[in-house]
Amino acid sequence: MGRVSVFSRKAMGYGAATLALFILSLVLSSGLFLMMSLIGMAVILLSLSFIPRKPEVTRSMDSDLIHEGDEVDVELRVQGKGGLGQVEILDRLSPTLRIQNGNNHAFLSPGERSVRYTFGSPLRGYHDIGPTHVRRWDPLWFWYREDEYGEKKRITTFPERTSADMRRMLKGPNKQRPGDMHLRRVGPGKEFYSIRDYVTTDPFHTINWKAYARTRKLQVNQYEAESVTDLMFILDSRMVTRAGTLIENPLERSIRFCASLADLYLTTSNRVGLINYSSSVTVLKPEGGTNHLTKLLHTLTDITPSGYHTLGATVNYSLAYIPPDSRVFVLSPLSEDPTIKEGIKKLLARGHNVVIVSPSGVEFERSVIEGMITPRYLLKKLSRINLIEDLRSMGARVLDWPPEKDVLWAVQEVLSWD
Amino acid sequence: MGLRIRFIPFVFLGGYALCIWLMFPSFLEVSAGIYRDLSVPYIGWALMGGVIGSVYYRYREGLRKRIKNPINKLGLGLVLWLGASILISVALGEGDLQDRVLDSGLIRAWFVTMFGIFMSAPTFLGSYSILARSKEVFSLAILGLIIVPLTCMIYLQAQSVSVPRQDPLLSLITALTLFGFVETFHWVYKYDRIDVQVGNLFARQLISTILFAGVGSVIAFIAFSWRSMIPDIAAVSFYEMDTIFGTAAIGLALLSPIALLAIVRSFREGK
Repeated sequence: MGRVSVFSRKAMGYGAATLALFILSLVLSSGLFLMMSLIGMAVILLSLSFIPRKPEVTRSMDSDLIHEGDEVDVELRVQGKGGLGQVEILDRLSPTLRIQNGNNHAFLSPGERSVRYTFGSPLRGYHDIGPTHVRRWDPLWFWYREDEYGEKKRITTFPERTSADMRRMLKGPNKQRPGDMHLRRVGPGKEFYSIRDYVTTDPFHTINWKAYARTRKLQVNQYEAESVTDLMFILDSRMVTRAGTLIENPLERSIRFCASLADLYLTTSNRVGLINYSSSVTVLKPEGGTNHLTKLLHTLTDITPSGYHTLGATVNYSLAYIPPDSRVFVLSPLSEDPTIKEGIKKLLARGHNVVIVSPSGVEFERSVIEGMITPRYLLKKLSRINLIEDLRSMGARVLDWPPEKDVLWAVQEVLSWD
Repeated sequence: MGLRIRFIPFVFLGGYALCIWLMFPSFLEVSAGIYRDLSVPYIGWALMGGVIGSVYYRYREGLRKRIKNPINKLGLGLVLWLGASILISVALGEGDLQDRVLDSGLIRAWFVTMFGIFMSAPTFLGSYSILARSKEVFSLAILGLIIVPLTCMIYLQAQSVSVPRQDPLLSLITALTLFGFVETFHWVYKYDRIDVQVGNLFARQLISTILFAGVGSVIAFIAFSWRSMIPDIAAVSFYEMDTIFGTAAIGLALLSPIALLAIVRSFREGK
């Protein structure tokens, strides 16, 4: 944006008063009013003559990729010549960012100056910072010239990941080192294990040609099975998951849970995938590695609650993407969806280990209306209790997650079931 | 900083009222025109206005809880009082209709009250605007503070059909007190806040204000004292110099270099 010059209301008032006093002094031959008007004119003209020169402004930040609850230090360096007048600086922040320390709005004297402040991001998502607006004022605040520096810069806020040492809670085969574990039996893997006779269904590339040359019999390589856990999250991000406040609601809790557990499993060389259903169904196939973790976190950051898709339809659509024998976490408040049992049944029938982590949407709703107990609340609560019991009797494990318990508690509960 | 800064505009407001009192000793003639025995000097009205303004600010919440829209109700009350006074005077007075109204004690009391309100309103508004940090009320206060000397001048000129002389030095001090009130109010408005970083700006603005006011005062004083500063030679003296127009012209001439500076710097900045 280019320069903008604006006269303040003070200047308008001074100008109008000075002019009026000058005219009145001539009409009434008043020395007093003439004095007032001459002083007023002198002050206005002198102040308008002294405005600071345009400075150079640069912004430096710790990081533009953070997690919920993290803080970012920002420093704005203003380099200009000294002199009379004032410099007003405003670094625009997205309304979802919170200033923790200092201020993004400051008045400075001209010269070499710096403004420091710290902001935090309580909510995941993509937030903007900037551009920086600078106003150069005359000494008596009559007028200013405004300039804009830089472009909008994007800050990415990933969901919060519970950082407690949870690896020790991961049960299962005692892995000697992180990553793949060899199981001393035949299975899909990369390490050679044994040779056996060829059968017609064996792939051609597994034929051991050296053994054939020696024995004149077709034989194939067999490999050692590796332990790589596949984990699939089915995340409910329909409109009903917004019950509660902007920062605390079933969807945000589920996302933080998913981010925490995915981080844990991916850093121990397992594969994690994500199926998100809202107004449509999106699938992130299970993969491993830190790149995949970043991709997953970006997907979680981008989620906005919408639509009314059902779990049943989602499972029907995405069964092909769920690896066999993988563990499935269903993250849903289990409300406003008549197909839940049908969807869970399909997953269980396919042999998946199903864990349902359900932040209680009913309790989040109640917390917003100051804990009032209404007939509607009681009905919904009863319906939820019955549904959870039914799901448990079907063979799924269900974690009923109340609002007062945090993500760490939920993760610990789930890991203790292993 | 808050309490110290807020104290300063009160000083200038009081100083302005004092200067007006000194500048217009014939203010009592103005009040005598309203009521013969009304001998409250202007400083009395100003002081009363300042005190009532401060008290009103302190108890405004309580007052508004008891009486909704107290200012509107006061205005309505005054109008009703005038109407009732006129009716009572017409109904119960003696003599002609005109004599009944003009000689009525009730109506005279109403005029005295209105005069008191108008004379104390500028300082009432001024003190309230400082405490409440209200720009709108401040603007009304400035208007009132200018109207007071204006009223005196017009009245006295109309009475005596001549221009009463105003001492240049006292005029300068009066002008500076008004300027000081305006600027120090803006200090309170700008710097008596905790949500913005301000650094050493207050000291810089204080210096700039004093500097510019000083230059303006010198220019204004020279414009008025020009006559006594130059020798009485025909080439450099002219009749109009002694008139207000001449003084204004000299003042504008002295301001022209500053105006030129402002224009030149504004063009340079524009590039």
